[in-house]
Amino acid sequence: MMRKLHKSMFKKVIMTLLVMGLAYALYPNFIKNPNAEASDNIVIGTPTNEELSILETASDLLTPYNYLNKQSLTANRLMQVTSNMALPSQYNDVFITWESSHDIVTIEDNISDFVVASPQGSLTIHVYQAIVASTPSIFQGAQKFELTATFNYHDVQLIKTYVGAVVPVMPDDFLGGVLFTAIRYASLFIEGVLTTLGLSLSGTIIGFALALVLVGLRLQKPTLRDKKITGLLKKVGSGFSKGYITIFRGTPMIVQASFFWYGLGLFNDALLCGLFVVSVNTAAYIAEILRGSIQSIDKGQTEAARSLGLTSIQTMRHIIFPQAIKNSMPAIGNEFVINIKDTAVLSVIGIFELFNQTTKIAGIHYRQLEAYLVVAIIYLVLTYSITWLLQRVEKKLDLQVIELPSSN
Amino acid sequence: MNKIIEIKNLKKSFGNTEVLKNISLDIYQGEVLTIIGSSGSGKSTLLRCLNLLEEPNEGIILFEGSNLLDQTTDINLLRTKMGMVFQSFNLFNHKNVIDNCILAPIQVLHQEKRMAMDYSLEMLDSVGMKDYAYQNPNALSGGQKQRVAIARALAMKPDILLFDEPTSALDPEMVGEVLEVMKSLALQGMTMVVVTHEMEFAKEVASRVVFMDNGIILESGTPDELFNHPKEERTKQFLKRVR
Repeated sequence: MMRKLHKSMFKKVIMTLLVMGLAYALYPNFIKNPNAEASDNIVIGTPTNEELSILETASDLLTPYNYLNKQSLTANRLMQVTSNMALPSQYNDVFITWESSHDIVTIEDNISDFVVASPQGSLTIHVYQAIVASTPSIFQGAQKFELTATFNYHDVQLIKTYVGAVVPVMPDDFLGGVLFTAIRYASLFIEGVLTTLGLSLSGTIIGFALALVLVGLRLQKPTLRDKKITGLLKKVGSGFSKGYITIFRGTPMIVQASFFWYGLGLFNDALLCGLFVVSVNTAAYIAEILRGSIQSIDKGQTEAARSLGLTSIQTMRHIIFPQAIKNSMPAIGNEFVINIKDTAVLSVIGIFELFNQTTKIAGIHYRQLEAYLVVAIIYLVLTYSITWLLQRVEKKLDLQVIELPSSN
Repeated sequence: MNKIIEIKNLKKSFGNTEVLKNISLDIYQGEVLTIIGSSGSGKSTLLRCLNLLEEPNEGIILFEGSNLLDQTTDINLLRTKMGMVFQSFNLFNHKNVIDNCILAPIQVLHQEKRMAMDYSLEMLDSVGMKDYAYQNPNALSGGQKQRVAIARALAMKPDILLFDEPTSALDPEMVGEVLEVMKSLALQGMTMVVVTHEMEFAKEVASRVVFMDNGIILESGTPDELFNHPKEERTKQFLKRVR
């Protein structure tokens, strides 16, 4: 029955993943951030090498600027336009004309002066002003436009296309801000959710495997029939396990993470280090869960097995352990839920799990309240739905459903 | 008659409490030995010493010639020849009835699964539980559980069966079915040591009855001798009370 159940569970998990993937692929365009695109230069006429190099220098140096803060709009920033732009009209003997492909950006005819900062001090250049007609609402999403710049030098031309997008602006009101944060940065939140879920799930699974070793060592007890060296080894193993559990349960995970990442510097990859910390931490807790569970199995089970001639190892493997695992499934599932929340501390070593993503998002608009409210809701939905799912599995496995504390 | 077990000067104490004080007892092939006595008299401890579920402090237990208390004795091997039936059944809760029975034959005796299944089903049939082979133990009544426990012990083809108050945890109406099974085993010549409060069973089935009191064997004899003509005052008192 167990095996059958596992098969159907497996199917369900695969189906859920497929549906999630499909939803992500098809989900409305406005949630996705448009990506910056590179475009090729087109040359018209037959320029000499010298003429070509002058045109290319001009096209490399001159870019659209943000009219307000006078920053040069790189390919990525051009994808996040919210206000008017300044488009250079002249560079030495090179004259530039601009065209916009979309009504949302209109280019004025008159040329004005524009002061930009440069490494050589401030510099005045001539620009056309490009007016952003209106910013779209969050539901309309980013509005793409193309700016075509024609660089004229004598009778040769170089045409360059900039791809940009006018993006929604965060509303000033709270609810609008929450909605904006949730939709505009959905892909960032989803990245965070995936990292958090991946870390907690694999951390719990690896932690469980480590816990098996730990609890195996922990329960070693020298008996009178043991040889001296066996007895000694058992004591060492049990002592190691006890020490391990005490240390990892007795120190905060944020300290462990900093210790391994900044202190020892054993890892090249923060994510790997984070996975290590979650795993070794979870192992300590699950080892204690398993120990309690093993010790709570009725002594009669051991006696019956031993009276049939099973060795202590066989008894553990065939009788005690399967029952203990079954009984501790709710508590181990609970560890997974706890990990979903506790991996937030791994932001300290620079992993972009859900919490760190949110800090990043909050920093974009300096609107902390909206961002942290959204993430609180996401965490709640995650933990609640996983708790619900685990309880259903427990019911199917015919386990006793028990209320467990929600944090370490 | 062959002695299957010889107990010599057996002593066992838990902390400062002496539970078995110098017990000597022989058990013969094919006999049904019942041990009676009040609670705390040490009868269960004596039984549990026979397959070393309790480690005695002193003494000798010879089982088919080898001393159980010798450090070099392979106790697991000897346990396969001594089946035990417990008061609280102790069926493996996570396995169904047939899996309970075939586990040890496969794991310990290294029998092939087919063979172990066939023999276990035969044993379940002999206790009237063949139809329940694929049931979960939790779905069974107490009497049914105990009959499965007996079949599980029999599946190892033991030389002797030890019963530790096999009917004490049962509803009165379930006691009969278990005693019936034990009776038929006795008739087939199985060597049995039974710790029990069932005086009727002792009278009817036992070939010898031992009365234990306060850690010693006070009196032993045939059921007729012990129940109808007890010598010791303490035995008379006990028998009067349990009637």
